[in-house]
Amino acid sequence: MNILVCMKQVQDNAVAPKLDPATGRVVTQGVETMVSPFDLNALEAGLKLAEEHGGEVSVLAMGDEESKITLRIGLSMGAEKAYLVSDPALEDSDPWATAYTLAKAISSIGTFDVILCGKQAIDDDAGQVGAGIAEQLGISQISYVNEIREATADSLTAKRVAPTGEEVVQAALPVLLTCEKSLNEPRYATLKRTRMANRMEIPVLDCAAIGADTAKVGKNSPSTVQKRYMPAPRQSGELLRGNAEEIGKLAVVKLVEQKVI
Amino acid sequence: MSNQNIWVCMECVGGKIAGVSYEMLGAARELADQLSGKVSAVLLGAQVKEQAGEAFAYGADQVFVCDDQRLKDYRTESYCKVLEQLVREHTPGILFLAATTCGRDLSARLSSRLELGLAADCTALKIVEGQLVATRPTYGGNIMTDVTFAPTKTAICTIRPNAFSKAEPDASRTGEVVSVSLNMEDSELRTQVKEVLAKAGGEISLTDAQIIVSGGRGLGDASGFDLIRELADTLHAAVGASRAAVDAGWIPYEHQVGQTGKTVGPKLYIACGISGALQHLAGMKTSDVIVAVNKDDEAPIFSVANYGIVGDLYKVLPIMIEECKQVFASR
Repeated sequence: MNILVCMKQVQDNAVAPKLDPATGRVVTQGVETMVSPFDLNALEAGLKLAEEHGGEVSVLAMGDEESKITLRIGLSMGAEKAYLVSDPALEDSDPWATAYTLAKAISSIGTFDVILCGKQAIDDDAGQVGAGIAEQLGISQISYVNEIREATADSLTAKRVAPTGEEVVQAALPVLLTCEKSLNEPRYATLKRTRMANRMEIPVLDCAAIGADTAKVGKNSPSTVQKRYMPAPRQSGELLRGNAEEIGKLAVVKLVEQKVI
Repeated sequence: MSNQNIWVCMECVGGKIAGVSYEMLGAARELADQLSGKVSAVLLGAQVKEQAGEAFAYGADQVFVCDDQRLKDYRTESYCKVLEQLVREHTPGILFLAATTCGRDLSARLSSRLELGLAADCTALKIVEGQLVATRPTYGGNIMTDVTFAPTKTAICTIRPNAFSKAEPDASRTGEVVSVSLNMEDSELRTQVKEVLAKAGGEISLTDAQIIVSGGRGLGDASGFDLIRELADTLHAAVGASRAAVDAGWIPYEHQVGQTGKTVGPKLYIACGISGALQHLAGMKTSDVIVAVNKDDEAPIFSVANYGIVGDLYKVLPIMIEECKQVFASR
């Protein structure tokens, strides 16, 4: 079973992001990075499938050279190959363009039975790229997967989160899955693999190498971020102190006044 | 935006229109009135034809209905096929879908197929110089982003549940119903829904709950959720949890609210024993009214709470439960 996992490097979410007033962009200088958490669940699922059914796992990221850190984490957890798509023309790509580019990259790398992504990246929170890749490649998708039930030579069955409840979906291979955190517990890298990962060459592919049309990506994307800004700070309200009986009753009075109960 | 017409792809779960659909119609009606455009609803499913009236009552001028047994369960391929056909034929100016696990799945596939811009999980919309500007939270709600679209194409948005108000229904409103068919060979369907699992015991889902009661580390142990559930049942609320409570194994992950859990924006959010880590606040701070119960008056959760109850939740919550019961009994 040939497996590919898409990974995105994001800023550490332990610190609140800041905007650079001059550029209107999120400040990245001096900020720690991390792998977008759901992508680690995608990788873990990919590694398990390969262990159970044979085959190997490749990891793919799009971004600048820095994103090799994320790919090396993928390699150190057990991926066999890593690829980085990087091109100045890709800057400011929207989710459509990102999915288009990653799909072009995947087609140029090889053919895969299962492609896995996180359900969304925790910076852009769009959750569009997985389905976008599946469409561009013309394969099925199962999104928001929280359990892989069964994989056979030609199909995969998974449980996904539905708007109310859950559903079990079977898809013919090849299939793209987007993964929830509850799917699994990502493994730790071993020291041996980490050493190996640090020595591995990671091929860098530009738009020309993967046949991506630069007229469709980056600033030419179908949607554009016009402005970024901090949300209006939420005003803190009243603190109710005193004995439990009084403040408990008072709280309910306030909620009735506010017409929320 | 290619024209002034706004479409709403209604979210139907198990053949029943979900609340967010009416909110989308409310948002669409408001924008369409500004643009002097028309609102059309798209109703996909099996035995959904009867519900077109609901769409008119909540603001639609026209309803496209595709009633097909093959649309009984949501499947990306079949739903996308119908919507693709309709959008190609009519090129609406704006298309809304629900920001749920189905609407987000479908919108992303459609956007990719038709090469159309999509803004996911929008919380505000406005028209500037005749074009749509969609506001969406990013970085777990820490950064807001205004998105614009190609001026001559359909702009697609998914709409966050509880972010927009529905209009007052007017049962006398009516309009044109257009029947559409699903032109798809069974062989084109590569996925099958094998099983639909409902929530246990009619539990209310977090994402569309009007009221959420959440518990955190301050509960002390798993049994603390009995009290949380009791308050939730009293208020017909969903049960949420902080990551700490989920990581401690006190409650399953599906209840987690926060950046790596669910993002919610109910009318009322009651946080009990939750200190308010950045990643939890990211998931709930757009709630209309926030109540926090915490012993520690320095807890960050109080910085976003409308009402901060400084006290022992095990003493305060039973009082609140009793008071709420009395309030409801007197109505």
